[in-house]
Amino acid sequence: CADKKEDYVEKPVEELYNGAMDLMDKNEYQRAAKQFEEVERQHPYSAWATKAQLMSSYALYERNKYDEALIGLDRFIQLHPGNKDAAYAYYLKGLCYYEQISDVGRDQKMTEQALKSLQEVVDRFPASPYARDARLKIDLSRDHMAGKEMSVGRYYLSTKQYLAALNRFKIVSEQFQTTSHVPEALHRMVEIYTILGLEDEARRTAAVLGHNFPGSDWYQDSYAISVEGDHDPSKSLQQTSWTDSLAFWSDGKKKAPPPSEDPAKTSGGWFNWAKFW
Amino acid sequence: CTPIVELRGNLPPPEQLSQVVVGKSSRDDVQSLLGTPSNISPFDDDAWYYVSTVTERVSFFEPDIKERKVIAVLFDRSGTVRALETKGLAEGHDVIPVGRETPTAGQEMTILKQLMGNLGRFSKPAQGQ
Amino acid sequence: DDGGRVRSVVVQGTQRIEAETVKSYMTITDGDQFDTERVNRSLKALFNTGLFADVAIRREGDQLVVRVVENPIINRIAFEGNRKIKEEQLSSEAQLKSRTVYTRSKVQADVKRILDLYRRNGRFAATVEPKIIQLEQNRVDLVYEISEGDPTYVRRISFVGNRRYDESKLRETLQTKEERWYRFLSTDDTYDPDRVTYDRELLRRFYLKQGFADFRVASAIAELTPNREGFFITYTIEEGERYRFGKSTINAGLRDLKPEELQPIIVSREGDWYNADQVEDIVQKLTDAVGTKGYAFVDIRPQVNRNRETKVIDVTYDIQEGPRVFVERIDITGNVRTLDKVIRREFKLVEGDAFNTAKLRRSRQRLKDLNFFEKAEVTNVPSETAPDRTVIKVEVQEKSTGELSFGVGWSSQIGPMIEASIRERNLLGRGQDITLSSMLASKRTQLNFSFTEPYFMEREIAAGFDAYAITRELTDESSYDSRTIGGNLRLGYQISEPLRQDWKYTLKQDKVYNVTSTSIYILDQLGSRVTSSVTTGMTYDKRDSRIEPGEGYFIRVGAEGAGLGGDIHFVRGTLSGGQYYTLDDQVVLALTTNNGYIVGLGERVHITDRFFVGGDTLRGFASAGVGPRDKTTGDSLGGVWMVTGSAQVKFPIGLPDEFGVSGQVFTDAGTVGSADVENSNGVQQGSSLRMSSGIGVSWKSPMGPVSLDLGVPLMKESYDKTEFLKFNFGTKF
Repeated sequence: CADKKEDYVEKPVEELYNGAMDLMDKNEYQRAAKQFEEVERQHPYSAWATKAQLMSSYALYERNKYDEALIGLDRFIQLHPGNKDAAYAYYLKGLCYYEQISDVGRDQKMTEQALKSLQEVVDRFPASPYARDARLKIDLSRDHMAGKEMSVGRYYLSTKQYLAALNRFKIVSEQFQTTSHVPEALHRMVEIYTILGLEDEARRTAAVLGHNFPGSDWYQDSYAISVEGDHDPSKSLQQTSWTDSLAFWSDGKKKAPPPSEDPAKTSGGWFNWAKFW
Repeated sequence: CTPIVELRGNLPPPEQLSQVVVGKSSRDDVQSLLGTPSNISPFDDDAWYYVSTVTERVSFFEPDIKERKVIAVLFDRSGTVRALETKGLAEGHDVIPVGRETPTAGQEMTILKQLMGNLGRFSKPAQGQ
Repeated sequence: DDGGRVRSVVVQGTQRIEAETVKSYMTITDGDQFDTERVNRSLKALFNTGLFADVAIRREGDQLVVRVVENPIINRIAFEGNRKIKEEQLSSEAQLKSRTVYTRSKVQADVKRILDLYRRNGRFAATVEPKIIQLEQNRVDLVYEISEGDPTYVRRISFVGNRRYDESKLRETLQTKEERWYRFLSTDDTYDPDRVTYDRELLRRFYLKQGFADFRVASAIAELTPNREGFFITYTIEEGERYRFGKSTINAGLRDLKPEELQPIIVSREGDWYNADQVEDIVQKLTDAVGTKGYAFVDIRPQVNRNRETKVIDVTYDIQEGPRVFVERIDITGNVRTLDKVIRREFKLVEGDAFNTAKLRRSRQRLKDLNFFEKAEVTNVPSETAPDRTVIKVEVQEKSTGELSFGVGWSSQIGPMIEASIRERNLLGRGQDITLSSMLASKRTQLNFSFTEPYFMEREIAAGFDAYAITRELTDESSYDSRTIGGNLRLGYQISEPLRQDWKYTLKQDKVYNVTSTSIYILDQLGSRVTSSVTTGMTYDKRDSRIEPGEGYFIRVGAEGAGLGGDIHFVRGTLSGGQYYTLDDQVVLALTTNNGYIVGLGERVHITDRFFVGGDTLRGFASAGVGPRDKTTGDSLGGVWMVTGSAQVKFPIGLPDEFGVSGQVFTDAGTVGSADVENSNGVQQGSSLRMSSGIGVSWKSPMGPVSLDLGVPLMKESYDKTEFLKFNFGTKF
């Protein structure tokens, strides 16, 4: 039958709450979440119940149980929209989606939802301590959406569908101007315009790239193609070899740098506002 | 066995193309005659390109490009057509795209996660979303 | 009594919800003008939150008093009386969760959801009673008392108005089946309204395929039996006339498109029965042909004009200029696991191309053929940015593509066996196929690992590699055991729709050991050898189906050269083929042949590479029962060439089709060449023709395929080994 039924013995609320807090410190997030739910169930009208509701979602989030945490957070926001911790509830919702963002080759539904809920944090609580990190994560999420457009563009480029690739890279250069993909997008456009024989368009695009990103490798490649007429800037040392597509044990492409240590996750981080209580 | 011929992109029919008059036709004329351009030059929208390719594909071999036409409609500041150029396959160049890629993050799928994910993800329909 | 200012809003009666929360939902606050209209709006807003059982707002002097009664909180939710559907599934269906606010409307909605869940499982007699248990501190326990009732099966499916086909034939076309004891595994026999509507479509397609162009399902009524135990489904149909193909013409509405060039594509001959599926197939082929001639925007509609008297249909394929619309973007969503490019590469359309409905239909079909998705919707919506552009939306819902299978079986050739295999058809979402399979039998053990990348180097080339280890215990046949360990690299591609070519490099080591006979011919094969060979094969396959072919033919030619390194040098050729005819309903004649020839290059051909005939390849004879044999020890030595052929007629034996039982009568023939040994005086060999005929039965039982063949050798050599009964049964679950 379902997991062992804990004995729901009625206990005073402080004892229950502090017991849950100790579990949190011992990183026993699963049991802590259960205990916080007990606080809320046994003493729904105590002031502790509100805090416990948020704490149980935070514990579930730490255990990467994002779906359950999201349900708890939505309930908290509906019941206590005016509560002073509502900002953190919205922020935690954003994090729940943010940490499920999948790589650019796959569906970006999580990225879109992360963007939506993080934007809500910035719009509703601009002054809150979470707005700053929310803005940072919004930029990272937009960068990721640009990454998706780039990956589709590169697919079309690799199968010599130049027109399709050109328009994908153009979208990145126009609608994702603050992302890290713009230099590459501009360079790919230089490559394709040259392939199509539109040399002056290639030169103009290379000039824009040089003006905005003078030091970037991409500009050196574009300069080589559009000005020096060298049509194989990387001297084919980077050719994708036939083993790439057979590689299933490791991903053929270079490994992306590990995501920076996320402040929200580390228990010691300044996010552990639970200590303020 | 006969190769499969495919027409990609937008090749405006010649009789429409002939009605575009340099120095007279405006952007709206070109739009109604040739339709929406395949690509508009970035940043200043003063050049419309109609790109089309004809490829011949024999079973699994890479389709070889038989013909490519890039029709460039260039506009002056006041928005009337100042030049009409056509670039064929010959004017094109063989550029080897650079292999480097801008890195992106995101959860990479591992074999274990796939086997696990398999069981979890499909059995319960995603609530909410 | 408007007028005057609200000095303060006082909230009374809240227990769990803070006063600020109540105020935040109201549209009137401290310092506002009294205004009944805004008070009413606040009242409505507070009710809409669903948090309160009752709300009252009244004015006391310059104070606005808001009295609320909070809805109770649900302490625990329990389900009683549910057997068929587990609690976990019920609670995920119900929206109300423990610790949420209880409202009557939410409970009623959940009762309906639970009933729907039972209806979908074929239980129309189920009832659900919600019970509330009051607890202190305004909390309640919610208990759903469920009585499931018996499953409502489909007792009988009957038809009114069917002249041409009898009821059992029509029932076979439907997905819903009548209730039977042997259907305990399937749920096809429970009543499901969606499936009945789908059955109407199946019925229509069946009749249109047979030429009944006027066919119509007048009504499909499902009546519940008085004891609510089951359903009677009655289809009232109007078959109408059965039509034949008349003239099929092409009306080319495109500039200088000559219809004569397209005429050969139309395969429907005048006088054949009319067939709607064939017409759709022709439309697809015409679209491709016209596309190849450079017409991007084409819209092909088949005009079907019936002649009721002569019962003939003339089909005119009307080819018109389609609207000049281009594909702006292809957006793929829902691919949680499959990579975007694995889906995008199946598309016949590329961004920027001219939009074409036939190519969209073909892309949708190719996506479904991947068999990675539960649902794959491909639609196109007009783009906002430009009138002559469209955006193709691809919404997929993936299904689990991992397969874990076990099997037990018994066959007269290798005895009892168990097998296990694990396979993932969409590894890491890359569309790659990886399989690990193993088999343990009394006379053979096998371990096999294989990996395939369907789009090698981004092209439609299936490349991959295998690694395998096989041990065979051949004491009965040739009194030795053999072990093979090896691997191969392979490459395959489609040259044209029916023609496929594949290449394979094989590197393996064969070891002959534990020889239990004194035959010099076996003894001198002791030891192990390494074979390094390249094989190429061409297959021309025109069968209507690979699993159960009923029409068409296939030819396969193979050539193998061994000697690029390794100890073995030979050239081997193989030729196999088959022709299939459907003589009558489900009666199929199959003519098949299998031949091979091997010649050593400056050396003798090794026993493990020679051909053996018998068992499966020649029923009526034991495995390796035909061919050169050691005079003294009777060990089968195999021959350098082999020729076999078989003619078999498969027919239903009168049992209803769902039993899956069919009988077969067959005649097999074949012979084997000489043994290519030093001195052959110790060998009995002769290439006379051996022949046998017999009957058999095969049953697709719920436990797995079972087949029994009784073969009587008609022409044989004295030293051949015969085997009257051949039985094998294998199950996969």
